[in-house]
Amino acid sequence: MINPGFLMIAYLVFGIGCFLANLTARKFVTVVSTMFGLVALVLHGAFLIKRGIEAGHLPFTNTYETLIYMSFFVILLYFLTFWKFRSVVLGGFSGLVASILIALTSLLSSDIEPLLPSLKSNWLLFHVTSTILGYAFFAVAFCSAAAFLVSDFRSNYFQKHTTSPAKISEKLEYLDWLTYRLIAFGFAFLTLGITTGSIWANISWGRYWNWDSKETWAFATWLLYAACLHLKRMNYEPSKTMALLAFFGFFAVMFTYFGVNFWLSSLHAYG
Amino acid sequence: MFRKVGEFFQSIRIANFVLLAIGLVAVFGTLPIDPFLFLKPRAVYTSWFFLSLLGFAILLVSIQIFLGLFAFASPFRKKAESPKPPSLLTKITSQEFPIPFQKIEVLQEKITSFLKSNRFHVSCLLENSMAQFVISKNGVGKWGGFLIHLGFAMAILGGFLTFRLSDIRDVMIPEGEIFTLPREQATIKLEKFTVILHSQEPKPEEYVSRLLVKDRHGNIKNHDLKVNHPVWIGWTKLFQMRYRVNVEEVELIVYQKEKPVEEVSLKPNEKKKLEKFPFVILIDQIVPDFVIGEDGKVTSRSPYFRNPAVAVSLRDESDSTLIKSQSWAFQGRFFHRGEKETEFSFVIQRLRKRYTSGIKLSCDPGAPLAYMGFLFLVIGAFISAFVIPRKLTLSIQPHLTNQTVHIEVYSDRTKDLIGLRREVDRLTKGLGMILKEAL
Repeated sequence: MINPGFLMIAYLVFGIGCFLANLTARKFVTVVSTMFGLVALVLHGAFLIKRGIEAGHLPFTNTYETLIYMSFFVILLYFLTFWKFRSVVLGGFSGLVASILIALTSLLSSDIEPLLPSLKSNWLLFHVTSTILGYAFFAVAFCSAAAFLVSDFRSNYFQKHTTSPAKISEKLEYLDWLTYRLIAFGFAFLTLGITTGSIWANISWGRYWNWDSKETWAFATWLLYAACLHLKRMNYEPSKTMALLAFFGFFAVMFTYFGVNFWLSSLHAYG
Repeated sequence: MFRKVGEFFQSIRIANFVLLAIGLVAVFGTLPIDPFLFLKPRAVYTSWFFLSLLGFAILLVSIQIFLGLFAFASPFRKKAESPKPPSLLTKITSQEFPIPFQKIEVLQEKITSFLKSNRFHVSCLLENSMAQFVISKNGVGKWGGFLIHLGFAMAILGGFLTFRLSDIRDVMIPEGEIFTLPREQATIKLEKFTVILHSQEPKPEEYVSRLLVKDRHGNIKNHDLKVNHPVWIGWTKLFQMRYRVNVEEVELIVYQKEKPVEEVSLKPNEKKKLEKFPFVILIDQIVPDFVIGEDGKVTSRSPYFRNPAVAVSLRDESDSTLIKSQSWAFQGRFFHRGEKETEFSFVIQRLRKRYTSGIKLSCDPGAPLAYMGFLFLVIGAFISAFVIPRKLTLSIQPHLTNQTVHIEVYSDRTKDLIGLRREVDRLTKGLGMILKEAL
């Protein structure tokens, strides 16, 4: 009964609910959308566990499985930020991102394949989990950057005379800070993902770095987010530049994750 | 002028430019169009331009490492930790409490103990008209950036060493053949190569090369080389990469009207004359996993010899281009649906295959340095993300009539302003409770 189609619709509804909660500022809407999202997350986790049991191996060995895995972490990370900081607008964007990630699985086969010899390694767990966690943090950072840009746009054009500058400034400061912290966490996990991948490549393919398309794009994404973190060092004030970099940087993440598999040749053809 | 040069090499804008330039050039190398605007994308990684960019990045990073080491190891560091004047700090909050300043002296121990319970290092300066608590924690967080820079430099340098000094080769070794490793003075024989298939799926579970190794001391040992399980021979590492299989010979039994009449061995593409009959036979095709597809054509389900079949043609002895009959031979006496009955038929008695194992030999002196770099990168990135250094100055001064105190909290500039404010809120609430109890 739980399948990607169901999860996609559930997260879409959750995302719309969160946007409504943010717009109406009504507690009831926030509570309902949050509970709905939590239920969807639990069912999502159950689906992952079921898939892993059926396959007889960890459920993230190909693009189909990792998309479902990543969308799980995106929503999980959103709820962690919600628990700490109660920002429901992030839920709207996170729900949409998770929904789109799951929708991409419709382009792929859902068949359970046995593990290839090159994937039979303990490094699979560390490399894939850390990389996907990194991507998920960047996805939530993308959401907070999007919220920042939308708030900035609204404050400049629609709320100039209705909302106090102090309140707008506080909101932008918070979203900027959240974007920065999420990128910092994502950068740490992406660093772990790239290094464990390099070590695994050395064990499996005899070279820790081949300038393979997947490796190169992951490295370029890492450099981009390093530049993003450097920006914060230059300017501690809320920065539209950083929000834009975090927003567009996620497209680099998606190309690294998804685009390379389909448009470029890579030893990572299965992932 | 030296200052300007120094500022240039420490500029974050320059650093960002270099990082993004490296990224752009690197992704250019992944373009599938070759050549692209008269440039060969894949050649960019060994081009002088790209290597210069990496070298410049190492230079910038090395300057940061040097400055970091200088800052941490400076003998004047103690002086730097003494309280900065408020004008150089950021004010976080200020509050008033209805308590005489004289009581602060008495409460100094309690305040210090409270701050220490929040994992702060505390140093206190008490004067007639001011009490200053300089508190700090998570000092290890300052090492995050330093370790990332160090790790990055080491990883890139390791890469340079690999590029210049490594010896990485691919060899294809047929079963039974010997190859030598001159550097290790070892000889290696591929005794057998095996493909282990999954029980239910026509997919490989494992590839194994059984190697017989004789080292420089004359010791002989067997090693099983598998994917993800490399084997060390001296300083050279062997990796199982790929394989190839060739059918060297096919032994067929010839049936005439369902009775076995002759045995014949022949190689693929070899024409062989039958001894008892005036015909020549030729193997036209070998299919490892015979199946008839939905379109009615013969195909192979997989590259693995699960249901091998051989297309045999019986030809005229005098003119071998004249084909008398064609049929499929299997490892068993049966016919597939639709096949016409012929006078002669064939059965495969033995299919002699020879595997060739693709092994990568690697001697890479850059790998240990790169691995060290990876370790520092990971540690540095996690410290930067999760350990935020805090340094606060709590300034307590008497206010107005000396019956109240004014507490101000200052901090160095920080990227984590909201986290700092939350921490300061917690501290001031706790301090407020201590001061209220004292009333």
